[in-house]
Amino acid sequence: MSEFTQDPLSLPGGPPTVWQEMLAYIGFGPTDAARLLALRPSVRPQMRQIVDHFYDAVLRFPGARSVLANDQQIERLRLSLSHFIEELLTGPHDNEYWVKRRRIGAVHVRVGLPERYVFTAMNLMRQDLCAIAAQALPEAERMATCMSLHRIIDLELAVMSGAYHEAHEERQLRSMQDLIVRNLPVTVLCLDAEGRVTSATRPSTRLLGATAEVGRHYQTFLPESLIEAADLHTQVGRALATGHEITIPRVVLGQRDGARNFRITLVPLEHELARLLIHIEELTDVVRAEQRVHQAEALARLGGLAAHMAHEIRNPLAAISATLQVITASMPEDDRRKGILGKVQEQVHRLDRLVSDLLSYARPVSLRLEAVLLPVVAREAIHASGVPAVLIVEAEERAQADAQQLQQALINLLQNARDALHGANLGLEGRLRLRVAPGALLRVEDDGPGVSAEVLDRLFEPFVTTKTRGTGLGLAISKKIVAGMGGSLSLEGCGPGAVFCVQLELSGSTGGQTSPAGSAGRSG
Amino acid sequence: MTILVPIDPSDPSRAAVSVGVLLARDLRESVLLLHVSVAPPPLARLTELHAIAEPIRAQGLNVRLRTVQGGVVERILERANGPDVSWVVMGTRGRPLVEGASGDSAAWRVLGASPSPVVAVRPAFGGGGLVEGPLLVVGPPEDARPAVLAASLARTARTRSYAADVELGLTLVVRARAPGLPPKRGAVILSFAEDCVQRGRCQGVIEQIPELVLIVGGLDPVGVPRSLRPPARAASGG
Repeated sequence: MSEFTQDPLSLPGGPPTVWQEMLAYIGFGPTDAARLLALRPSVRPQMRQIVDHFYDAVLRFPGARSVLANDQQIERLRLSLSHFIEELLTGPHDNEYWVKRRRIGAVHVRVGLPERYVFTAMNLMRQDLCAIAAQALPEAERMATCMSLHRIIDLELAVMSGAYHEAHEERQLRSMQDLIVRNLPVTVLCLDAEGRVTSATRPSTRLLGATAEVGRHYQTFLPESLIEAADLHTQVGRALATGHEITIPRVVLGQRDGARNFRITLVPLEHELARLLIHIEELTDVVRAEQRVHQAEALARLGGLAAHMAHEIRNPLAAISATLQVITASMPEDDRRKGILGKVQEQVHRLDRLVSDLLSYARPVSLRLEAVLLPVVAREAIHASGVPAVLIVEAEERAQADAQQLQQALINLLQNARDALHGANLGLEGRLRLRVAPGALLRVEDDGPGVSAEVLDRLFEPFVTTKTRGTGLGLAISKKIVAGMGGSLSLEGCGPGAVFCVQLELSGSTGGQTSPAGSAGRSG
Repeated sequence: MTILVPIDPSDPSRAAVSVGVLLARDLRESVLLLHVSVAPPPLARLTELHAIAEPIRAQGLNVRLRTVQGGVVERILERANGPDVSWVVMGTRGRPLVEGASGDSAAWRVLGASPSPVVAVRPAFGGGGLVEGPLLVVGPPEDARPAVLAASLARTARTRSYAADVELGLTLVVRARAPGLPPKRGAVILSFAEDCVQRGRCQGVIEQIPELVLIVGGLDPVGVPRSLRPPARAASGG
């Protein structure tokens, strides 16, 4: 009891502690400590009764009973109260005493015992101890000892009140933090030392699916494919070992059009409940946008070059063609060289078609979008193509399209189908169909040999052809036209035969709008 | 192709990692460290495993770490069945190998059932898994795997290998060190045959000699590891 041989406020060593201030405020000093110590021999024989009285009162309340349902727990608490009273009487009532009392308060909070029960039961303890003082002590000392008891018990109540208040604040803070964390628009997981996910933002569960339940180990919380692709165990080990933040800049799941891209950041922490943060960002849209930009830039460069070359080639082609016509016209009818020059002229025309197709592909397509009746466009396409396809109308629908351009796309598809059948030495009769299906869907169907596996992946790319005389641009141009209308062109299935599907947007409106869609620099 | 190394933070496991790294360097393959446990491991265990993996990565090798749950042997065999696995290298305390005995049966079971060639590494007494001295290859001539393994390790460790038939080799090893085979610095590579007698002899050798012991097994009937066969057609998974 070294420091309490003097007034706490006058202790050397700087400003008083909180406990010293409390002692000084209530006036508890060394004399009070001596009185409590003198009372101790009288209290000890009755300790059990005091403790039972205290907890019998607490347990009368249903709210307290529900918290302390375990008999073993109650017995432990009774034993703790005995020690509590013992220390209350013996001290020393120094800073260490205060620290221990705060811990006891924290235990009550952790157990979940509401403060009102504890505080009211403390009054019983006060009464019991004062009663013992009244019985056991000479009259001259009774009042003073009771005052000392009041002071120390009021100090205990102040410490307990502080513990409950701090715990309440911490709970509120955690609750608020948890609320904020769960509603952040990012995917963040918090792992404890066991690797279990102790908290996760809502986007986590949306992003990661049904296995994303808080409480699971991260190995079962996250998809195995993501763990594998990121080599996550290695990175987690590295982050924890180095204590540094680790970023895995690109994690790819899936392939080609279905690929998803992520960036994962691991942040090691030093809290017992939070050992590691995992931040997962989905970059799929960003990556696709980057790819589209790169593709558009590449196509723009290619388109510009192609257009320039096409113009440069057309001039000499025109001159060659004109010269051939003049020479041919001046020859006798039976001159055999006419036939040879005719073949040269054919090749010149072929080159010219190639240049035209290239220019068509390279230059922007200006579309006039309006609600077009699909069966009408389909019928006109069959007529203009010269291909004996059967028209099958399953729906009379209108779609948002440019009628002329759509007709051109269908003509390309029909002529492709015809060429495929000719190439396989198959007749056309009954083997070609143009079907107008519900949902603004047009299907060009043929019973030919189908599309070969070698070109399947590149079918709609420019200059891909299996025909000896094809330019390889027909499908690419058709796809560009349809995409410009907001639709899609695809090959359905992989044989036998071939079915090309043009999917457009249904329209209920009339009137037109012009869309400068799909330049070589903006296709895709 | 991949060298599969089942690991835990034990000395035999670390010895296996040393041998696996030598193989990976010679064959220019990646290393897959596989940790099998009953429950998902705590983060502290991942830190330990990282400490094993990082020095390998520092040597320029491609290393990946996997943790899986379930039966140790079952999970190892499952992964060993992957088309990308050329060797399985795992640690063993060396006892026992005889069927029916308890103790370190995981290595024996993998040796007997793995579709890929297996090397069970019994660390040298006090010397871990370092291959420093000459390699003595002991096994039946029809099993090429020990010799293939020895050649690979010899290249990387810059040492030499010597072949001996079963009887002579075991006699040499058990009775005395072979001339030129420094004690506790070389390694003995044994073939793990199906024959119980052979296994019994292997057991005796393993228990008596202090050198690093590598026991080669697995179901591979051809006796040639996948890494030395023509590449298979495109396989899934891995």
